[in-house]
Amino acid sequence: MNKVDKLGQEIKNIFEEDSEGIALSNETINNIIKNSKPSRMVKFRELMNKEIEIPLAPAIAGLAALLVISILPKGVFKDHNIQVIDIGGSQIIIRDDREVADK
Amino acid sequence: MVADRKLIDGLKIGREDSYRHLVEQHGSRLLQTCCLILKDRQEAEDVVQETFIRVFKGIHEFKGNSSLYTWLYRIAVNISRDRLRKSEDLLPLEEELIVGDDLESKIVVEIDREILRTSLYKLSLVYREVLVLYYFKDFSIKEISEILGDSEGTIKSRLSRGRKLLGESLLRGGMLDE
Repeated sequence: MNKVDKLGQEIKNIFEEDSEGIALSNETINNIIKNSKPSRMVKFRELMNKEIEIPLAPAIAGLAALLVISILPKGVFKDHNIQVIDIGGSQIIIRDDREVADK
Repeated sequence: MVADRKLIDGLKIGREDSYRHLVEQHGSRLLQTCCLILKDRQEAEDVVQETFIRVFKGIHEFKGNSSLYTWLYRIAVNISRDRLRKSEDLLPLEEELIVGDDLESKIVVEIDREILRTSLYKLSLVYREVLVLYYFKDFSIKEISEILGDSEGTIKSRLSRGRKLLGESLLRGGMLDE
């Protein structure tokens, strides 16, 4: 289909002439914007549908740390300060803390 | 395309500046197109308002199969058709017709612009909308087929038929015989 033949050019010219000066007024633009504002429900739905990206490496590291903390027994890293004094055939053990066995 | 993506994202989260950008960028040209299709300024303004409101409210359903621009025109043309359906014979008999350029060049020797103008606005909507989108909006046949939801062959046929009718009308001094 030839766009630039005589008939095509005349049709284009007529359309251009007839639409000259036709523009959307500011009032109409504001009206459209006013009537198009999304409702709170739409905004809420949008928030709920939002995708969150979590970088894999820090996520795995964090999860591993959490696992270690929850699995390892309490006090496993405690630094026991124990002194052993040999007296003849006996030993005296001196501890900083007094440990009480669980019942 | 990237700018389009950003604009669509802005529209989806309800950003007013994105709304305003789309209306200011395409509003006036869309209004002109609707005016030419509907032949009524007030009616065209109503269609444009309704189009943008539908676009903003339905942006979540926009799949991105076509461009935002084409989608905008598709909605506007559909609203225009609905409004004209009551008052105008929307679908004249459709025929697959390919008119050779030789025949057209014989018909259009001397063009009387006023007769052509009158004939253009007398044409049925199916021909006028294709002519407006093709000659005024410079859309390609493929884009027009996306906008109107018809095959490219049908669009080509309507374009040829519309041009032929105009050519014949020029020969008959403005009498249009569809």
